[in-house]
Amino acid sequence: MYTTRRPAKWPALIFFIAAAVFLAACGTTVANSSWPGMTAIGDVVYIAYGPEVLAVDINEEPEKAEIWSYTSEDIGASVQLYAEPSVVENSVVIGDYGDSGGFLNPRVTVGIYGLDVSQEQKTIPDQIWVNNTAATDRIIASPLQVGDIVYVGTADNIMLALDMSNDGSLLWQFETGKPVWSRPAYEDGVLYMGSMDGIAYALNADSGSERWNQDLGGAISANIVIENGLIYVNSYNQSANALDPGTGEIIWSIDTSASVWGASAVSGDELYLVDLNGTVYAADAITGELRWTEEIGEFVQGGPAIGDGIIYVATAGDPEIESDERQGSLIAFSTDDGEIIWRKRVPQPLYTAPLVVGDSVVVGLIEGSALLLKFDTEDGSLTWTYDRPGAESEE
Amino acid sequence: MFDLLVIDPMTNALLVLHELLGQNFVLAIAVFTILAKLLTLPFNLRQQKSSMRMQEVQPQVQAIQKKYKDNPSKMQEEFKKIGYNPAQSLSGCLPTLITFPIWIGLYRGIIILLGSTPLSLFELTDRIYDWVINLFNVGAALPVPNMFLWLNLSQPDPYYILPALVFVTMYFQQKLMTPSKKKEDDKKGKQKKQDESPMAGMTQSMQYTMPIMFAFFSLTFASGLSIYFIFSGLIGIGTSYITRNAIEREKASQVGAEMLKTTGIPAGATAGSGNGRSSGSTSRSSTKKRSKRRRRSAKR
Repeated sequence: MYTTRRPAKWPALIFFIAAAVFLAACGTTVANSSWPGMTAIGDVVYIAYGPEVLAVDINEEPEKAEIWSYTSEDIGASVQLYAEPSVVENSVVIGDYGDSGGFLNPRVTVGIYGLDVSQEQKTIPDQIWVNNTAATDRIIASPLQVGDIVYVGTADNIMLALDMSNDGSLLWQFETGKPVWSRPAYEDGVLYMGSMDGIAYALNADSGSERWNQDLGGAISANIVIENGLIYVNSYNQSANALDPGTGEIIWSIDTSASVWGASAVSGDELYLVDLNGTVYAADAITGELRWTEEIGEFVQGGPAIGDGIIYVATAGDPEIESDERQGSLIAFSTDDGEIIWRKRVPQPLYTAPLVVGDSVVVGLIEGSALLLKFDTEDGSLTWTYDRPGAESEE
Repeated sequence: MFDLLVIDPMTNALLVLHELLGQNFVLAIAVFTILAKLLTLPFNLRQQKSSMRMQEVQPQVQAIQKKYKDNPSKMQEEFKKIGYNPAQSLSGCLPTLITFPIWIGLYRGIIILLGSTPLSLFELTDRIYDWVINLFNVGAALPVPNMFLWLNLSQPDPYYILPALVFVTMYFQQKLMTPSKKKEDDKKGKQKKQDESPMAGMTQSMQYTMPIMFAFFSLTFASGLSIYFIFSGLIGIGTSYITRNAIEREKASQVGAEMLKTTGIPAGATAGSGNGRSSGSTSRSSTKKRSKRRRRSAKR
């Protein structure tokens, strides 16, 4: 008679459960990162780059440049912040990428925060209000403040209107077919917005009711621009469009060689845009008539920035090169004919649109120790580097 | 290189299916999982058959190991008699290894397509072939819709429904992949103890731990991936069921042939022989040899 001892199952069971917990905690979930969201007012650049939102004076020495910072530790959750902050005087509105409760509570909580930065001596802004119930998916779009109301697009396909005078409570919401990644624009009581469902919408700003919509056939990630009595909307359907604000009718459309991710830069009757394949277009902003085009031959995600007779384009590298070996460029073009004035290589792809701040052009970096680079508009020389807080300089 | 050869083609194939199936991403996952399962079916069948056979002979293997532990050459001889090759138990894993790149590619493809941040969408556009963009205008269709029923496909299911379904499908798949030894054990109390080998214990543990593990994953992974786990589990249940039946039929026909030869009575005519299982190692090996001989003569 055989007397083989019954093997213990519990050690194996415990091992597999431990492995499951470990892998689920450290395994590959859906990517939860992006490139920095940036805006500038005066000499101050506001940047959300993941763990925190910073206000940085680019005319100060790097060690003294930080004016204030607001981190996920201040929020009290392990959230990421990438949406371009909305800054109006002393009111700052930011949104996060959400925080999952993990095994015990897989529901994702997303926060939208109203900050007061009026006290100059404070390095941490006061949180005036927070709304963590209105959105259930990431805030990728930059919020838009109009009076006491802030309009925020969410990745759960919704445009929210929050009352900042009432703790950010929900006023109304408008649902679209896909996520809302772009900042809306406001004029005369109407909110103009684009959605990744490819449709541009005009809403009554006080109620969220729809006035018109225009299907552009491809996702809209570019911020909406209002100038010259027209709504400028770029689309992944390889087109840049000008719409009538009253009816949504397409006034003109420029066919591009690839999707257009970034917003057009408009100055008077001049309009500039760049498509994903790196073709720069200069057109008449009123008629849509093309003035010139210039091919860079590199990926371009962000829109161009206009300076004094110069437009600046940040590139994300040559598509023919392996993605982990790509380098970006900051290129200055003459607005007259598209001639390249200068070009500076950066050792990593540039995804954000450049910002023109006085006599400088500023770009944000996605990785490495440096967070912000400042170039001289005249010759493109690098004049200032701002490192991520806590990072050790690579130099 | 793996990206170029496996992940990019899978991602593009998923995108094309997404376009062809009315931009329904869940349907695209389902169809692609079925296609991938069909592609890997021959390997899986071979692996499952091999695995089941190995588990079936485990009691005899252990008995031989115990009996001839001081006589390796005799042990090998006895192994041969019951048709057991220790090296074969390792090579049984080979078909599974061949299918791994396909499943990793599909898994990664779904993660990439579900990429719901600007950076991940940018990485996706970098992977799409030009001809796919031109033929299907997928640039205009991106990003893939993230909402399906109550789910945001890029987030975990907050209602625990998908993790529960993942557990159930995975459990039944594992159960079917494990040989049904209960009935046999009830009849053969002696052999029951032999079956309680470390390997059998591990197999029994896997029946619970794998489903628990994947259910845990589903609590934190995007629900699009959970849907893939469920479809994969359902198809796995189907293929395991088919394989199991095929092996049972094969064994039944072998036993039938054995009985006909020795007693002149067809197996189906004897009460209690319905399960068609052979009871001894010697009769099993001799049956195999005879059926081999018969097959050879039939070929001639």
